[in-house]
Amino acid sequence: MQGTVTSGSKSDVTSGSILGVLAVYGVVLLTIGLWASRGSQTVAGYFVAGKRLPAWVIAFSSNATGESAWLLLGLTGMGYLLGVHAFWIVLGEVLGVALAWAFVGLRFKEYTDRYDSITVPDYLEARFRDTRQVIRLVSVVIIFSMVTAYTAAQLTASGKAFGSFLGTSYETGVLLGAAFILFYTTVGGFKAVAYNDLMHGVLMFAGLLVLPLVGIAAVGGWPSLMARLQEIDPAMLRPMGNLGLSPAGIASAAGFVGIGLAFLGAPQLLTRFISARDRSEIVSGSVIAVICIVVFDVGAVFAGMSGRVLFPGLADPETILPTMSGNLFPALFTGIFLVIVLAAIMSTVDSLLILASSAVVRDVIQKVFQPNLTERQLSVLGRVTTGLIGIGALALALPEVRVIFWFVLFAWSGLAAAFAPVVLCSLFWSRATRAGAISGMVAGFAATVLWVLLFKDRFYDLYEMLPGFFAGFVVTIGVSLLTKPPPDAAAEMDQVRCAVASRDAALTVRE
Amino acid sequence: MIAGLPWSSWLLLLAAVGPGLTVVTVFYARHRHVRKQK
Repeated sequence: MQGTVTSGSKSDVTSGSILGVLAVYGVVLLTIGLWASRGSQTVAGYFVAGKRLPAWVIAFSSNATGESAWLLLGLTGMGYLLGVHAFWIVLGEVLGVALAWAFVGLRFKEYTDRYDSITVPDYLEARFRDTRQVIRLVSVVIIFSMVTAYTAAQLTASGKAFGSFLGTSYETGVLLGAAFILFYTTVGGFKAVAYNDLMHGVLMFAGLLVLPLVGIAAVGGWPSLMARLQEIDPAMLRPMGNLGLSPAGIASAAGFVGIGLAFLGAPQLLTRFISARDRSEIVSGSVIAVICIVVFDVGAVFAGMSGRVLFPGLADPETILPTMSGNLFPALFTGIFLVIVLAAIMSTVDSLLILASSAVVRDVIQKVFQPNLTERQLSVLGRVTTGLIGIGALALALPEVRVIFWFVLFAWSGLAAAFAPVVLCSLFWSRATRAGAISGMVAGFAATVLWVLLFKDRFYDLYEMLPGFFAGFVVTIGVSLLTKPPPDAAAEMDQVRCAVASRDAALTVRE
Repeated sequence: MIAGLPWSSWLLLLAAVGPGLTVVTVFYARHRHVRKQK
């Protein structure tokens, strides 16, 4: 697959430019890692940057984390393959991000500050008064299994990206990607992750703004793009694609919209709200986050559509971005695009590693087994765990090359279906109970996995996020109605609602 | 057809981007308003 692109014809000059850009990028990553290491000697410092991040950082890093290599390789590939039909993904993601920032963020921040939570399981345990720590353990199992698969998929993408751009072997690409990420994540913790993700997000933003414009110009302008796509396949320009308004077409569109649901409650994204300096940063960040996701998604689809005209007949549509950057731009920019793909990969992997590490160190070791360890010991344990999980994912990624898209979506949906319905109920429904939350998490997760294994091919390939969410909500609500909620939950939710709506909330005191 | 793209596709693009921008603009404006009152 890697050989389909320009890699075979790379001149020494081109490779030199790419390597130069790569070297500069590597130095910046490592410097930010070292800079951030100073503040990461405590548990809260290592896992949520001491809750001191500003709007720009949380907004860009949240989107860069949510959008993995899948955005640059997978979604451009969808634009290439399906055309306008891929806008259903844009619809889901833009709505998901907007609703998350406008409705979930402020309440979640208020709750987590009250509880002094630094992880999502921390929050759920406190919200449901789970003294037996069952929620925490269920969360850790789900986070751990999904994160390893997701990280491995991203490292796979790293191998592919290096192969496409530089012609290096798959294994070299995987190892190089992993080495950078592991260094700054273990040294600098969440602060390094968040600031590096800001840089990654800005790079992705710039790339996905420029690439479609250059692509459309190369085709000969907008009218020419439309005319050529019409010639290649008229279905490329229709919202329902070549499936039309059939059950399969509707299932496909609904599944695409469902991708965005994850933004409402995936734990690696909720962590951004916890780490915000205060609620006003979330208000400012909301606008940045939505504009950012619009440019990401619309840019990726249009880039893929113009790529279809320029480079028809690619064996692997997911190589359209490397192909375009290699053929439409000077060597220096090709290097920048490699960096952008790596940025997308790294911004996801680093956040997942920190998430999994926090699940082990904060949620298991500190809260369950060894509450007496010092902050410093725990932050060292956090680093060791991050390294070990990274090496585990590396071992999974090295022998495997799979299609990025579906593998990533499976992990993405498993995490989101387990957490989002429960988190949403916990924020907006005071009647939700501990038993409801535990069974809802298990049901959402199990439904996702079972759907893929048993039902998906019989139901027009409907994306597993939708049945996962549905099962999560139904079971959380059903079981909650049969059990008793914490006695003070309703009063507490009222306080949170008032705090978020009040004047004081909007203008958090900084002096 | 508008500029070569079927109107239904323009509608989808508008639906994809519009509501998200609207939600967050209203949210932001409300909080700015509250902040100014203070």
